[in-house]
Amino acid sequence: MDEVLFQKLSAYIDGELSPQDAEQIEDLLENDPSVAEIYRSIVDADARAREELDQMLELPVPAHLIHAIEAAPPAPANISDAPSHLRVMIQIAASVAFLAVGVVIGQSLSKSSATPGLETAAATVPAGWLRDIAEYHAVYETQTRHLVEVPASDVDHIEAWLGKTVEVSFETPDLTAVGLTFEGARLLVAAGKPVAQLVYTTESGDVVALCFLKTDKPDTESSKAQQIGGYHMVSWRSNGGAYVVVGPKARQDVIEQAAAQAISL
Amino acid sequence: MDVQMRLFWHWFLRTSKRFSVLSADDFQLRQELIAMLPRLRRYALSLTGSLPDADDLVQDTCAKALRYSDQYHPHQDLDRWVFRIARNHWFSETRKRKVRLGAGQVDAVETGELYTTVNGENALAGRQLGQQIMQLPSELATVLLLVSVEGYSYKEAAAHLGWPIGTVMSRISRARQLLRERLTEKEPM
Repeated sequence: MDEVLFQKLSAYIDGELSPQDAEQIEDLLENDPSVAEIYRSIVDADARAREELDQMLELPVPAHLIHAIEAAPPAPANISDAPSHLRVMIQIAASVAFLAVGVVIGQSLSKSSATPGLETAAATVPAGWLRDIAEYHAVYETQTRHLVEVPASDVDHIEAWLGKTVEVSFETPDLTAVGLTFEGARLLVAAGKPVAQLVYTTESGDVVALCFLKTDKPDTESSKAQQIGGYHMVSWRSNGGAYVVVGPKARQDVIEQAAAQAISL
Repeated sequence: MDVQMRLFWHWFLRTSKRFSVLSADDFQLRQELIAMLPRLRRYALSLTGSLPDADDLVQDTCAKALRYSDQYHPHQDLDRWVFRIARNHWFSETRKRKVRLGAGQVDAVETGELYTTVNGENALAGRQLGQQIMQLPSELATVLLLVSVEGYSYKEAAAHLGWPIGTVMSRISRARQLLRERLTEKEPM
């Protein structure tokens, strides 16, 4: 197999391709079954490798390593016997310097929004709405007190509001059968389009979301599983909507069950 | 500016620590090292390819981390700092061994073999795929572990390993290629 293509598929899995290369790979995955097959085999090998490597964490740790840490001599003493007045002066000097540097940093940051450095960094983010969704998920999954914009109790409003905004009519899927509780919804923007995000949680508090946007592309024959960053994603297209279920890699089983459930509804 | 900020923090924390404004919490560091042991052992195993060597490396690494705890910047990830100590220590030891034995190492990208010459009998008995991963050339096993499991970006892995980003990309691809071939041999896909 073409070495360069393999490298690109590998980098695509890691979310490390340029926008142009990512688009090229996404087109290939959709249109070339042999490439899609290789991609699936890499994802599978990678998932199995991760599983094996994670199992290594369960190997018993030899007691002598723990004892060696507990018994190791402390770090050599610092110069803490300086006169107290000198310590106070240094603390004050450090605080003043800190404030001064903080002002300089603040001024610089306010000017830095259009710096080439930031543009370069942004250019490394792969294209595609799934990458955006993964990035959103990384932010929102930690916001346990502000997980959603509209709570689950207002489901009628969620369906009316997001259905109109995203232009994809929907009924909120009940995913309790796969252990997911509906928490509410958010409106996101990905790839320049409005995206509905229906947020669910597992019993242990992991956040899983069903996101969708309007698309002109034809329906897919089957769903596609992939991993971007730390997240497992199952995506598909149906009736003018592009959908993805996203959640932490460790909850791959729940995510796939949720996607299957959502597709069947 | 990010660099200036880091330099300033480095100076501020070291100065403060030195004059007991922020004392090093030796006990807490030991607790965190103990909690990190499973991951540190796994990382060490990716470098060494055998559990006895990995355990020796872990012990030396923890001793160094405690000895040089004043060089740890509290704003950086402890695990990444400790991983770096482990890697530097291992390659320093490997260089010494190489000098003693008068032998060189084969570059990972030049080898087409899945296995290294490390004896696999002592590594991860019963975990065949795990064993195969850890017996990849260490450059491949390490980059696979860092990127695919520990969540390093290519940029972060490149900084940690001292390689260009392109090398990270090609080596992780090579690691996946070897594992995929191995899985395909065992279980036709």
